[in-house]
Amino acid sequence: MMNRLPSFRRKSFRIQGARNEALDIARGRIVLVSAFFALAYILVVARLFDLSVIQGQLYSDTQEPAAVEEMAENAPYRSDVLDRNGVILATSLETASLYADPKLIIAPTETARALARIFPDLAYGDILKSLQKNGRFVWLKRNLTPAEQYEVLEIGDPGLGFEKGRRRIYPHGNLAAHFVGYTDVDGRGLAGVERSFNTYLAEGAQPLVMTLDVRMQHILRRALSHAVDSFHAKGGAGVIMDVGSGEILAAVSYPDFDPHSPDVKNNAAMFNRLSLGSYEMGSTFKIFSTAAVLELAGAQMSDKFDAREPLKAGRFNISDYHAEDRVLTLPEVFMYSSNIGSALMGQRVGTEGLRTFYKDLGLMDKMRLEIDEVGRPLLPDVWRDVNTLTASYGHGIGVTPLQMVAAAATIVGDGTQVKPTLIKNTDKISPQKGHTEEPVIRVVSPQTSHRMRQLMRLVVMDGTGKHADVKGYRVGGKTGTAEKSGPRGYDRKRLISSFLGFFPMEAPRYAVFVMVDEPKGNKSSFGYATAGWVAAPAVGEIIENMAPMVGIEPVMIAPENELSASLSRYVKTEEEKKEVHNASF
Amino acid sequence: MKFFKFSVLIAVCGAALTGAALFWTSQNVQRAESELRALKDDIAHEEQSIRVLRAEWDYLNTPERLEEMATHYLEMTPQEAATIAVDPARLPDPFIPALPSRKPIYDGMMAQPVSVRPSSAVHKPVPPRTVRPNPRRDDDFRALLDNINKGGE
Repeated sequence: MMNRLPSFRRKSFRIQGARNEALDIARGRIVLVSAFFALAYILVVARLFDLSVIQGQLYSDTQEPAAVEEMAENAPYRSDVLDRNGVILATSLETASLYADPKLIIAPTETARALARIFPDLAYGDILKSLQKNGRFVWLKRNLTPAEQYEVLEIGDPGLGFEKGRRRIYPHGNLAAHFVGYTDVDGRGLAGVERSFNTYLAEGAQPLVMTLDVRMQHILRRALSHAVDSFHAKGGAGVIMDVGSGEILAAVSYPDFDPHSPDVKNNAAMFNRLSLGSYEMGSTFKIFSTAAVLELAGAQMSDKFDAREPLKAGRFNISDYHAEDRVLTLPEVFMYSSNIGSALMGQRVGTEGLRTFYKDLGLMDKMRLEIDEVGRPLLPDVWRDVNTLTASYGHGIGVTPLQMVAAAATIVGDGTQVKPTLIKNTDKISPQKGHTEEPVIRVVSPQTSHRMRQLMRLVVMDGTGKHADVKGYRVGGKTGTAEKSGPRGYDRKRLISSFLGFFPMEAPRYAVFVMVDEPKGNKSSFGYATAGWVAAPAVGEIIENMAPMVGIEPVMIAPENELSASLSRYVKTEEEKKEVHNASF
Repeated sequence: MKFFKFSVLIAVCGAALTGAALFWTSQNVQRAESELRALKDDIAHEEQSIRVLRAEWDYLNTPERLEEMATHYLEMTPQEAATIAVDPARLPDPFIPALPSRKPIYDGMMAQPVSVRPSSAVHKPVPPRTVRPNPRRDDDFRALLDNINKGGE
């Protein structure tokens, strides 16, 4: 009997025999391959999930993932240097300098015409000549702004190229040149804070904020340059300092230079006369000797000093510039700036006392300041008694003007050491040269401070500093006319005339100092080149201009209520002087 | 007919769709990335311009230049202490007060013409001493950039 084939249903379809094995193998291979592909697919899906979901959540919390481009152009700019109000003193700009490769220029006349249109100061003829030169490289224009670059690119000539670079720009020019400083071609600071804070600035993280105020700087420079020019002097220096905090609001050394192109050979301009130069300052030192005799020797205002005869000390003769030829009280010694009187004061304090006092005032050591250009004081190798006498009226010892101003601020402030600073918020910056946490050192008592304020007000009201007075602002100070020493001793014709002023004198807030080096008398000063005629008027002008800016109101005080009024009983009036003079015959 | 089994069809369509989705996503990302790059370039350019403008602003606002312009265009002079009035009550009135007082000062209904009382300040302003100006041209900032022939970052 024949077997009927079973009905054709997939489930019961079976292949018999050898073909069965081959198909089994084939089926097995298909399963294997599809399993492989399935695995690969699962891996891809898993990776996709990982990338998009898991890492997406990670990145949403932090900043965007590593940028594709981190080119050299994104290196941080050198930090700006700002003044206390945020005005830019120094900044870096990306500039491109335009050059041409004459060989690659395809349309010289059109290109030259287009360039002449973009840069009106370049002549068409000159540009054309440059583009048709024989060389392979010619400069066309330096330091283009981004807008100008764009316009040049629009010309579309392949022969034009840019050399990109970063340039340091000083928008205020030579206004604070010595203290801001300047950089070299590679961006390294060579002077001022550019140099002393070079590492900090190179980081590019935060701007460097100085204590300078460009408005005060301008006022100071204007007055100083006028004094130097009108008295045909060699140069000068000036500073405006906050007495309480020591912050330097303005600092000028004149003549100065353009930080964009400093002429390093011009020593007169490059030298920082304020902080680097050491000078015998002369009579302004009487502030210190008078304070010393008040503080350390218990002197009173009524004490008398015999200024009738020049003082002999060894082979030296100490005499007065404008001799009063009589016995002077302490206020009169200060007011008339008597060298003899001050030498006697120093003698009374004694060598040890005076030296220690001067050291406490910071006059014997190099001052600490946030720039490198700080000078050492010039001290005698061996300090003899004669040096005590001369140091009392500011000779035989040379100091930088800035440290002298700080010392005077110490005395008329609240009596504690004043430490000058150029940088605001020094504690926030790594203290390269700044101040560490130091205890406040008291140098004079408040009583001595008050007496010195009275004496300095007297100088301006009735003494040698009359030209520094500004009605309403209660100005006090001390003149200093120092003869410079030369090969043949002190030269009467070569002077350093300075005035150290403070205001408002009942509670001084600002110190204003002007020094003029070798002024020559002119018509307006009746031929005089002394501090009262040269430096004091400059200080008066500065105070008058700056007082409204710092919010000091003018207050008209009657003479009997003046700070120095109580000293008038120690000062002989003109009539009294005549009586004494007549009585001596 | 049976060439296209249903499951195969599904699989092929799924593959095609996945591929399309993949390319679509990839294109989107590439487009977004190039947008990002363009934006970053724009931001860098803007930041550059801002830097230049800030420098130019402070250059044009130097005290020296402001003083020149104030003197030249506004005829302003530096303040002097004598001209500063601290007490506002002591300032003179520029006009006779317009409000009628209780007792009629004027006869009739005609208002008197207003006159300006000159201020009592007798102070004569001193012409200022001009600062020696640097030679500048109209394109001021351009002049500054021209003068930087050396000096680096």
